[in-house]
Order: sequence, then C-alpha cells, then structure tokens
Amino acid sequence: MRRLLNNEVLGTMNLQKLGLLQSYKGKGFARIPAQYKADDGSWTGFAARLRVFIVNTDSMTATHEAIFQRLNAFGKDGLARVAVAKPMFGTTLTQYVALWDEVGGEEIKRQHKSLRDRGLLEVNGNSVVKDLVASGRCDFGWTDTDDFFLAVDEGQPVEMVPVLMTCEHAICIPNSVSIIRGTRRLGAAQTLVDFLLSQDVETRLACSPSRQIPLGPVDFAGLPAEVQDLKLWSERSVDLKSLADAHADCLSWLKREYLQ
Amino acid sequence: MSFHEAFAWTLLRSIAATTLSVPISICLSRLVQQATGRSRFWWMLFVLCPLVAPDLIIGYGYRSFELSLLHRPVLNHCFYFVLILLKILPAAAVIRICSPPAPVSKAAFHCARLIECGVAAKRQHRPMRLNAELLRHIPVCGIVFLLSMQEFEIASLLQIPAWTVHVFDAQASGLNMAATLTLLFGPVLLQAVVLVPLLWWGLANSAVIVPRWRSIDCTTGSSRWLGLIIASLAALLTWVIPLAFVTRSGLSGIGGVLENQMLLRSTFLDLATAIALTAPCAILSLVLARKVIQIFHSYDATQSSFAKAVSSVPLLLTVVPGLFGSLVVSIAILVATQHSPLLDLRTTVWPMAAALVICLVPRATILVALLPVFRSSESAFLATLLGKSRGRTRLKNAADLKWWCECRPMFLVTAVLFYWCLTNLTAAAILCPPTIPLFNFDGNVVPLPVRLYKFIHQGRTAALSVMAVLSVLVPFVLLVLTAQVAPQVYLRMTSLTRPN
Repeated sequence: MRRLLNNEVLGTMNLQKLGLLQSYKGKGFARIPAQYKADDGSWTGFAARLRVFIVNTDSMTATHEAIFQRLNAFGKDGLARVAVAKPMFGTTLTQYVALWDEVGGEEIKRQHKSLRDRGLLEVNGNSVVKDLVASGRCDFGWTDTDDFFLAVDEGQPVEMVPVLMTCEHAICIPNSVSIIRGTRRLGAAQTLVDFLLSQDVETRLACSPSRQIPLGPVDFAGLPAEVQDLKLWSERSVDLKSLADAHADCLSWLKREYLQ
Repeated sequence: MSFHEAFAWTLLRSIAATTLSVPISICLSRLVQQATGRSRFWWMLFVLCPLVAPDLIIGYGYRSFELSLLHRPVLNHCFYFVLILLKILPAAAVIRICSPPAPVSKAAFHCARLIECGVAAKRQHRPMRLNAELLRHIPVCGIVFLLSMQEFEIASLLQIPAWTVHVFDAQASGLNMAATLTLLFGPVLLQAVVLVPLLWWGLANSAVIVPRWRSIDCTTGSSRWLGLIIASLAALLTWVIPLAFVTRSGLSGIGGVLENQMLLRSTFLDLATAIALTAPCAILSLVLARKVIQIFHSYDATQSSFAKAVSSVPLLLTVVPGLFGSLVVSIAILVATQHSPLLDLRTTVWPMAAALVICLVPRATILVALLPVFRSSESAFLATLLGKSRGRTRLKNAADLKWWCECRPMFLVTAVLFYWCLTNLTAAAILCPPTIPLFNFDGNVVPLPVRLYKFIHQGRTAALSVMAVLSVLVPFVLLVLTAQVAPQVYLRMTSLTRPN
C-alpha cells in the first residue's frame, strides 16, 4: 500500500505540485475545513499542532510582552538563553515560510541575521528546545504544542504562548495524508485515509499525550480543556495553502544560508 | 556554520586524534600483548569493546548531559573529542598489534651508535631512524585519521559541527545530487590522500601483517597503568555510562511498554528485521574478508611490481570503497540507484545491504587478520591427532578442541561483525526503503535502529529508552545463546565424533 503520512504539510504540498499524489475525496474529506485540505483532494489535513513559545516560568512570565522584551535584547549574547530548532526542516521551516510570506524575504533575512548575531541557540529539533527550556537552561524557545505537553506531563515549570503573526493569526500545522499516484492497493489506501480523517481518530489524538487539535467537527465538550483552548486558536490561523511559492523561495535561501 | 567551517573543525579534531593516537595506542596494545593464555582474550575484549559500542546509545545516552554543555561550546567540543578518541583508539591498538616491526630495530641503532661514535654518525643515522619509526606509525595514524574524519552519528546526536553532519543534512533537505557530490569532493580527496600510504604499507607488508604477542615498543610500568586507565575510561564512557543513562530512563516506562501490545509487536518486528538483514551481510563480509586475506598472504616476494599491482586490483576493489566510510558509500549508492538501470532497486533492501557489506569488509579484514590471536597451533595439531583415533571419547574431545581452536574464533569474529552491521546507522538511515516486506506483516517495518534514529530526534521518552535498550540487549542475548548452543550443534554435526 502506498500512502503518505506527513506531519509537515508544506512538504506534502510540494509533492502535490510535482503531480505525485492521487486525488481522493472520501468520507472524511468533507468534515475537514477547506483551509486544511487540497481542493482537488490530493491531500487532506487532520489533527494539528500549534507553533508556540515554550516559556520556563521559573525564569520569566509567559506573556507576549515579556517574550518580545527579551527578543529585543541587545548584545552578542543577548539571546543566548533563547532556543529554536534549525529552520531547515519541520515545523520551524513552516513558521519561517509563514513569516516570509507575511513580511517578505528581505525582512526575514534581516531578522534571522539579527537573531543569530545576538547568540540565538539553534539546535536539532523542537524536542531539544523543549528540553532546554524545561530544564531551565534556556528561558524560552519556539516549539510545537505536542512537545510542550510532554514537558507539562513531566511536571516541568513551563507555560506556552501561541506564536502569532501580525494579523493575530496563529500557525496551525496539521498532519496530512495522501495516496501516492500509481498505488497497487488503492482500496486499502482509501480505507486508511477514511479512518485517519474520521472524528474518532481526531478525538483520540486530541486525548493522547500530544493533545493534537481536531480540525473537523468533534464533540467539543469531550475534549481535554487545553485542547479546547487550542481549538479556538486553530480556527483563526494562517492559511498554509497560500504558502507554496514562499516555501520554495524560503527553503532555497535557507539552503544557501546553512548548506553553503 | 558553513561547510568549510564544519570541515575545518573535523580536520582539526582528526589531526589532534592522530597525534595522540601514537603514544596511547602503544599503551593499549601493550595491555593485550603482555597478557598470556586465556587472559589475553579477556584483555582483548576489554580493550576493544569501545569499538563495537553502538553510536545510537552513546548519542542518546549523553543527550541530556550534552544539553548542559550547549552554552559551553568549548567543553562540548572537548567532550565529543574525548568520546570519539576513546572509541577509535582501540582500532589503533589492533593495527599496532598487527604491524610488523620497524625495518631497523632500536637495538640495531644502539649497536650502530656504539660502533660509530661521533656527531657525524648520529647525523647520518637520524634520518634512517626517523624513517623506521615513521613506517610503524603510518597505519596507526592513517586509521585514526580516517575514522575520526568519517565519524557522523555521535556528532549528529551531540550537535557537533562536522562535515559529515553537514552533508547528511544537505542530502536530507533535498539538495540536488550534484551539489551534494560537490560537497563530498574535498573530504573524499583528503581521505584518498591518506589512503595511499596506508594501502602502500598494507601491500608492502602483506605477508607480515599478523598479531605479535611480544611488544617491540619499549614501555615502562607507568605506561601499562596509563593503558589500563585509558581502556577503563573508554569502556566506562562508551558502554557503561550511556547504557546506564538509557536504562534508568527506560525503567520508569517499562510497565507502559509492556501494556502497549502494538508497540511491543512493532519493536520486535523491527528488531527481527534488523537481525534478519544484518546477519547475512555480516557473513558475506566475512567471506569476502577471508578471500582478501588469502590474496594478501599469497603474495610472492619474488613477484614483479607489475604482477603484484595487477593481482592487487580485486583486493583493492573489495576493501578500498569501505575505507571511505558509511556516509560516502551510502551517498554513492544512493546516487547510483537514482538512475537507470538501478532505479528499480531504490525501494528494495539491496542498496542498504550492499552499503553495509562494503563498509564492513575492511573491518572484517582486520578481524580475520587477528584470528591467529585465538589459535594455538599446538592445540590444532592435537585436535588433528585426536581426530585420527578410534575411541569415541577421544573423537569427541577432538571435535571439542577443534571447536575451541578454529570454529569459536570464527564465531566471535562473525558476532562482532554482526553487531557492527546492526548498529550502522548511516547506511540504514540513508538507504533504508520506506518499508521492508519481511515476515508477511502488513505494516511499516524498518530495522529497529532506523526507527530509533528517527524517534530519537523527538526527544527522550521512557518508551524510546526501552526500545533502545532492547536494540542492544536482545541481539547480545541472542549471540550469547547461540554461543552456548553452537558447540553442541557442531559436536553433533561433525563427523569427528563418529568412529570409523
């Protein structure tokens, strides 16, 4: 069975652009909002995460004001206690692409250089950011909600603040599922897609330790309290479908920046 | 950090490791060389065990500790350097044990000095003495330089700048193949430059590369203690501490893992897949290595240089590619399988298996060269004599002795190769197909180290730690069990136990 599961939807959209995905609008397709699926049914999103600031509450208060005050710190090591995953991959890349789309390439390059010059700690992945902040080695950093909740469940002193664009929209990144063109077991692939896009799976993922945000209609009252809050954020989030062009440009710049 | 900076860091580490390798390898090799009888095997195990320590466990085990060093880059670099140095040095010790003595001995120089006193004579002998010493250090330095240049997995997990990490990231981010190959050009060229004298030394000394049990290095009692301390530190830092960290982290989640039947099932399937794939690769590499050694030892000193060069071609083709390291080999195979006629192989296990075998052959060759360590010609002769007797008990004893003399060393070598192959992350991570259709399981199956490597970047969890410990312990337990059963099977199968 050839099907693709990807928790970084921009990569899936790239495959769609290359014509590698097969259209399928099954039972689950209709229940997912248009913002989180391809119009032609070549991919569909489900169960998302938010980009958030994870803040160590022993070090600082978890508010946008406090975070931006720290982010504006000057000096060579002004941001030495702030961590981010290397933006070449994953959801950090998605965040960069969203910013690229919003403020433009030149501005993001300037901001990126300024952050690096002030000693921003770039590490391998969101989980490392989570560990650094949870252990108090950093004051805050960028990560995803699933990593944040791992720290919460470990009893670490952390809180989160959603990353907001200037339009006050959050960055909500769904898992995505699609069928690869030419599969020999189309029936099985379609059954799997239907299963993943069902209300039951979204509810289960919402109740799991990663607290993924259901995108389609679910029993809201049955969701954990923290997921209910996240769901409200997810309803006003950046439209990732409009980022395809920015993705190519941003990734090309990042490759030059990191892989020269 | 740019590629050039990462390359410069790797080069700096490799040069430092190479410089330190000469005196330390003397201390380590002395530990093994001074041992006698059965204790030699245990000393050897003790000194060489860091070589088979799984990089995945080292990187994962030190993950939290490494985070505490992120704000102290100098300490972080030093810690990584010590770690890889201790892991690589046993290889230098093996090479030193197998190296032939210098063409002009220290005693000869001493005699020459006594005969021809005076400054002029000393000046005359100095270059010769320097040459003789250098010849002994070439293989040790070469191997250490290559291994530290090629190190990837621990650098990646500990977030240390290295050209290998840079190239892997470039490849993973979808950099086109031409650009990736351009990045590879410099490091491959440098390694080739180092390989030339190494191969020249190997071919020139082919007939005399055998283990030597009387040390020819003048060492003192203090150097033996230094060797003991270094070997203990290496075993502690590469095996004991990381495994203890991972086990402690896994203990809290063992209940949850046991309840999760799905996780258990997929873990054991992945592990079984890894074992099923790597066991044949290990055996194949052993077969190739024995052929290489046969060719090596069959060189005739009277052969002309041309004839020698021609007969070396198959040997070089078998051994040299693997000496460039897993990353270069895997990327080369990846490039090859992205073009016809090999395109259809891309989603099969063959490219991964080929990379594993290619990378394993040089190591297998060194191990096969070491085999005489475990052999005693007197015992082998006795086994042959006993095998000619008629009494059933004597025949059984002969078979038993034959197992201990000949089969058991081979089994040990195969076991080490199997473990190396199982823990080769680079080839598996780059070339593993999305799923391996083994055991008729309708789901995603990949060798366990590949899955672990992907998960480990998500952070440390109790379940992941349990899986990591299982990936080390289960193959080890299987090998111990096989070691228990194999002699019985051998005794039953061998015709020696049947009277004529």
